[in-house]
Amino acid sequence: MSVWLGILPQILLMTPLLSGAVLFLWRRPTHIRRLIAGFIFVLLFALPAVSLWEAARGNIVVTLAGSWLAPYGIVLVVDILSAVMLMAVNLVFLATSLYGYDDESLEAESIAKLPLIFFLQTGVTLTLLTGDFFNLFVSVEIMLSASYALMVISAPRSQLHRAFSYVILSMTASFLFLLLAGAVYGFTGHLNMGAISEALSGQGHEPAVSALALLTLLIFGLKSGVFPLYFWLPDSYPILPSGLAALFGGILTKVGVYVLMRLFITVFPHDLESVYIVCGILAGLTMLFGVIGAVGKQTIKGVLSYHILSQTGYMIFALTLFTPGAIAAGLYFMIHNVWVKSSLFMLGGVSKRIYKTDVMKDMGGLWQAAPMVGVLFFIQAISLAGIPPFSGFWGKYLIFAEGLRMEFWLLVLVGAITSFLTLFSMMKIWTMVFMGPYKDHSRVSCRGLIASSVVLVAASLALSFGVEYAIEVVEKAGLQLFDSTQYIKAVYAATGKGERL
Amino acid sequence: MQFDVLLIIFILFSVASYLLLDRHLVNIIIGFVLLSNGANLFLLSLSGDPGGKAAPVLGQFAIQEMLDPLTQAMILTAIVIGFGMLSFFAALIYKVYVIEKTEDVSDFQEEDQ
Repeated sequence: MSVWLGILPQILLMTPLLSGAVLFLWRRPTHIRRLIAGFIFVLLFALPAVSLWEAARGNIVVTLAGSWLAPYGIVLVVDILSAVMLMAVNLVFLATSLYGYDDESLEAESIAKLPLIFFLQTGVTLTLLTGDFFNLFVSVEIMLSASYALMVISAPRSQLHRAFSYVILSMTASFLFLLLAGAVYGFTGHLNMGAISEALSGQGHEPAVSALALLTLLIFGLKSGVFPLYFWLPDSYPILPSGLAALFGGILTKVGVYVLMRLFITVFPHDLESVYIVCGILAGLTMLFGVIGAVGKQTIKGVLSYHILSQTGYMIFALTLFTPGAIAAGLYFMIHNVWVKSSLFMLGGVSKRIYKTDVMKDMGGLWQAAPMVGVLFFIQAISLAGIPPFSGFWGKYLIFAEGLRMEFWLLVLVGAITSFLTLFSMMKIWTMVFMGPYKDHSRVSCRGLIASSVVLVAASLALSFGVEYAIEVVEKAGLQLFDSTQYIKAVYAATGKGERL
Repeated sequence: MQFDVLLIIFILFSVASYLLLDRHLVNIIIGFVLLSNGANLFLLSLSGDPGGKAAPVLGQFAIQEMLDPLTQAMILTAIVIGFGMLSFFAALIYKVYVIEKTEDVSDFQEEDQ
């Protein structure tokens, strides 16, 4: 392993952190400040591609932060799962920031916005890379505090109080996570994930381990919008401007699902049947309640926010099945969802700019006003609903195929009904906003908004038509993840102390 | 067993849960203060019964006599994070109070979305 690969995770982590700090040097937003930030976002998208290249060959890259030896120091671990997620997420950071440049004029932009987006990216990156349980708590806190601040500086004053449902529930979950980190340390005597995994292996029938797993499910289920603690999400996300709603909706809940996958597969033992049953019930209810809530909503952002929930349900369904194939399918579905969901929020923002409202019944005839937006929205909407040949279909097909193989008939049925209802509510947006009588609208240029959405649409089209290559990568990720000895061995090897930690 | 610590954690958590369910945001923030203290105390209790143990100072005591210092490092981090969160939350309450002229959740003006 070259030195370059060893320091790559630290570069990925430090670049957004330092950029966020340096951007405060400009006292007010300027074009140069935006240009530099945009360049860094491009760089941060390209770098995970390099680490993915290495990770896809089956090498798990472990970096010792500050050269403290594991299991006492903090390790950063890049395997296929985290490299893939990092690439998907950083593309969304790039696209939504470019979108924000056109969405907000220089005068209207808050000086703290770009630095906070960089701090959010630091938190997300650390969450995806860290191999230390307490560090995971810290990184989730960095991510959440940046997201609270972004929500507060960009929400309209009259709607600000709706941020409370997000802030209060997330803070409660954070304190519970602190308890979980303490309890895991108390039970195993370790904080390094590899060491915890080794200490817990074969202890799946201990009631304490099931309790730890259920607490994990509660905390990260709350953060990713799983039934029954999901109502904060459709309550708070619609107050964000479209660019940030795309960022939050595309990333934050999926990072929660990522942590669930990481902890349940790498850290906890693989025989927690009772916990998987709870997972399955929650997955079904999340899918159903998410999509039913969407049917009654009157704004584009409201409908899309509820869809985030039902899509999370599919990912939890994949986690419930708990086979390498299902996790591979879940990972594919997650990448699909990160890109498609973000681009739908962005395209919804375009129609909001044209009609100066987000209420669907005040729109109409957008198909004639902006056919390009119509084409992009149509592709992403039916991809979300799961119509072939788009990525949503492949993701759902892979999950359902694995579900049928494992004989989870009821969940597959619920998933199919949800898929149908998703199509229904997407068509509701389509008929009300794009078809319908031609309504008067403002003739504003949306070129910048559309161009940045095209980045994500192109990425999800590449995911749709390059499905064979994508499946090859995610299947490798699933196999690598399930063989947690690989993770443990890589951490051992990095300590240079042989077989035992 | 440390029954005294257990009892204090129990009281802190139950009072915190009660306050978190309140309509008034000021009570909610007091609930968070208690919750964070309860969580920190829980972490502290994990290093075991401190009775008869020495402070973790290298060179002065044998390692077997020392108390586990890692939980204290974790609490230090958690206190900093918790304090930051609470001050942010207090500032947010103040800002919303200035806008809405109330800190009662049920009195906020709801616009139907």
